[in-house]
Amino acid sequence: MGNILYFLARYNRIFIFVLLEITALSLVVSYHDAKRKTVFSFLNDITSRFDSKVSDIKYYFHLKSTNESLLAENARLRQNQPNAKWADTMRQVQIIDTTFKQKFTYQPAQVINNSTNVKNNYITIDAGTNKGVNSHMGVVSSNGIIGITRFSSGNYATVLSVLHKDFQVSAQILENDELGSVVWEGGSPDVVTLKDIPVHIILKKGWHVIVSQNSDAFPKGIPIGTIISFQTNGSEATYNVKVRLAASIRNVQKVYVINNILLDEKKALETKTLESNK
Amino acid sequence: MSAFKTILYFFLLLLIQRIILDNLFIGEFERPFILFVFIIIIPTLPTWALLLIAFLAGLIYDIFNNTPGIHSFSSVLLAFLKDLSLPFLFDNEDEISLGISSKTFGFGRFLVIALVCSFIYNLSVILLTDFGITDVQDFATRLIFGTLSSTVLVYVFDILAFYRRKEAI
Repeated sequence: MGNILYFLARYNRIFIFVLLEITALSLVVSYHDAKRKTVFSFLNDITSRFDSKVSDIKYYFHLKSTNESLLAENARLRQNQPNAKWADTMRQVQIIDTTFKQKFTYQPAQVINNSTNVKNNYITIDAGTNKGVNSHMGVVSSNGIIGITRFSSGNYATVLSVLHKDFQVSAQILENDELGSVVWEGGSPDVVTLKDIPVHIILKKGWHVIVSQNSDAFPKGIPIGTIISFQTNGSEATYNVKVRLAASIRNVQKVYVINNILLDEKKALETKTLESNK
Repeated sequence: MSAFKTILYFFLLLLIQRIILDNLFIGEFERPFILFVFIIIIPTLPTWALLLIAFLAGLIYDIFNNTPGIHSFSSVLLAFLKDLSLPFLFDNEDEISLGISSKTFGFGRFLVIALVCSFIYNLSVILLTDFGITDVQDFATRLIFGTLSSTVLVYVFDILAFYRRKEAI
């Protein structure tokens, strides 16, 4: 016993070093696992409060561009109002419309912290579980897609931005309905890559890429961006399509968190189907 | 350097890192780090205290940065290596209490120390972020850029914080 204590005392620095490094490594690994999600959620509230103070100051410098994009969105929405259209028919029939029910709800939020300069980028927003924001909800700005929520605490939520190596969204080319998936391969924070488009499909620069109907987190038709270049990689059967993002992640200030009301029902059904196969 | 002053320096470095450096945009490169200067300037302590403080300092930045473990690991590694190499860096016991800065080492030797420290720190951070090396060229450019930019920052910080006081004495 005495020998062990002497040994520990003699090499205490090595033991403390190894202990601390193992603690740190286990933190890295558990976070990458994404299964134990609540490692820091209680501390995130404190750090987020600091970031929100910094963001309040930065917000003033972007007021002009924020206003412009909100005005543009207002204009677009006004154009879709019934009173902005005219009836191209003589028939007048009154219909009580029960066909459409709400599937997606929108929760506005303010960006309080944002990074675009590392390999895995996150955004923090000031809406959390108190406002119904949970993990895996779509986040869009008035211009287009921004990301998917990852963790949420009471008043804040972190968003896995499009500029993250784990982010992937099912996409569609508006002009020819071709399906693919959008990922970010690093490099410029304005350009993402559209994958899985076969080489026999005809593409044109400037065509629009939107969210497809296969996405759980986003309604169909949310803009992702426009095609700026496409090329084949030697013998591969698919294009490598570069897409310029419609929404600039760097300058985003106001976002909407999208809640898919029917998602739980869909997931439950899909799990049931998968289990019945076993 | 008193304990109070050291804590003050830590929060100053945290603010610089968080408000200025983390908002820099430099293409596809890793942003430069300055927080590890804290490990270099911290006065000599018992090993266990030094390692524990380094761990906590890294952890605080990790919580801000959404990267649990990465900076705590790198900080503890750097602190441990610093603790091991201290007897070789100084000629006699009296100098150790002065701490590492360009004031005690002169610009040439301090540059080497800053370069080695920022290399170790950036290497550890980049390896943990990527979980290994996937693209050698990308890895090398990020490591070289990160090391050089961090070294410059360490030097600038050292001059601003310590150099003027030498003339005043």
